[in-house]
Amino acid sequence: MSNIHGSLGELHALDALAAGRTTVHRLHPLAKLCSALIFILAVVSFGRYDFLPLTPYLFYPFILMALAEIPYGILLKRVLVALPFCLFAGLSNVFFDRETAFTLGSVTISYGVLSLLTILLKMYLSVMAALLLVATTPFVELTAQLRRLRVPMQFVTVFEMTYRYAGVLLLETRSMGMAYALRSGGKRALEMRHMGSFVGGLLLRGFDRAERIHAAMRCRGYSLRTVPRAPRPLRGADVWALAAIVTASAVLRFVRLF
Amino acid sequence: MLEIKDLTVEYADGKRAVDGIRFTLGAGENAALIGANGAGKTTLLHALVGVLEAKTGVVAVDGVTLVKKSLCTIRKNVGLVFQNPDDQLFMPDIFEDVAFGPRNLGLAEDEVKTRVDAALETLGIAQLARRSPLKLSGGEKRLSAIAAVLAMEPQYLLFDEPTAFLDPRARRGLAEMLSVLPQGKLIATHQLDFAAQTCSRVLLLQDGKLVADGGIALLGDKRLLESAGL
Repeated sequence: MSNIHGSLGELHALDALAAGRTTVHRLHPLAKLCSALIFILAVVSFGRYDFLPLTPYLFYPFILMALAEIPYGILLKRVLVALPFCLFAGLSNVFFDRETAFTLGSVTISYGVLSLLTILLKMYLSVMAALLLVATTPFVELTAQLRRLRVPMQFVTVFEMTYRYAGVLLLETRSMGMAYALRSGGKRALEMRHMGSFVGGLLLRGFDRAERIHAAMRCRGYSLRTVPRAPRPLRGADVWALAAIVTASAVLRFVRLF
Repeated sequence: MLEIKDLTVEYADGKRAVDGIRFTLGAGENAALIGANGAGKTTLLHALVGVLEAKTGVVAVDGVTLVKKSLCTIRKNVGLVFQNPDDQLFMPDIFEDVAFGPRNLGLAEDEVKTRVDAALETLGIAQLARRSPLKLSGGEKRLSAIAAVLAMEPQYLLFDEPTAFLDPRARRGLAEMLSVLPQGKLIATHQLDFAAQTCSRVLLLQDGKLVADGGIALLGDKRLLESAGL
């Protein structure tokens, strides 16, 4: 049960960070969304061996984290979730692309290793940009901005519902797990023979609970087409921040420092 | 005035959960909706805000009839407080949750903040604004759920078992708080003493039908209540 408690805490940790009052938090969600998108586009547009030209982009997460007063550990833990997928994608390069790219003293670096490092750096930068966006922008502002940008409502709705129902599902799992544990005769884990009915029950309870939450949302004016918040105008600081990040991303993309 | 005329709600299996109900609730009037489990109280409340679709009959709020096009107006004027506050509180903190409704009304952020602050102040829970719903007691969650509805500034309030999950002290506090709210209220409850404390009128449901509608003296009619399964 403590794991589920921990997961719930994790789920709400970014919400707690997004409620901050720093300069970055106060920026318009549109400016932050566009900055993150352009930054990610610039990062992924680099070639497979462009490890060194990508390194100056590390300025973005580190400067933003410092300005937004976000602890590095919280975001790093989440970046690590994507690590196995990237390792899986990049490891084959190490074995199949063995041509020497350069040597560092007596260590030979192959193109395969270089491409693996590039994949990992691209992943780190892109995931950090997305996490920083979420950690500095309240969720409702983010989805309201997506709706205003005419992002398909189905996409935004799925995004919203997944976010809300993940917590609901965890809570239902906790209740069922507790009920199971109390009558399991001291067994610590869910037995395989009970797994089917447990997961089935969880699914049905999850549906039922989700229906009630959706009804509560509808009762307070929620609809798929609602654009909830009256738009806040872009201020000078928003435009300057956006311009600075776009310019820096573009300059580093076309002017190679390494 | 909240008017309900010959309202019938059927479930997909053909079971008639609400059967030809007719009554009116005046502005500022407090009525208790009592009945045994499965009598149709929750179904009726859900039908009054269009969460469940009526098979036949009419629901009208201050002259506006409940149809698909008027759903937004009806839900702005009639607030439903759910039986389980956990179903109603889904945002990361109480401020955001209470602001959910006003934002959906398209209000400017200053107005949203004013409404949220006012709703929280009215219920004496301003200190909970930045707390997570996961970390509140049952009573605090109940008050937060009511604040979430009050921020919409409805004319009528519907309560589904508002005393569920509350200890006697929290129940007394809730009764006092409800008596201060000026809106018309329809309170579905099993707690007859709570109904007597908060309402001046009683509507008795049995098998989806309205079998009695009268003053608070109805709560003393043991034979009637027992015959209705209470």
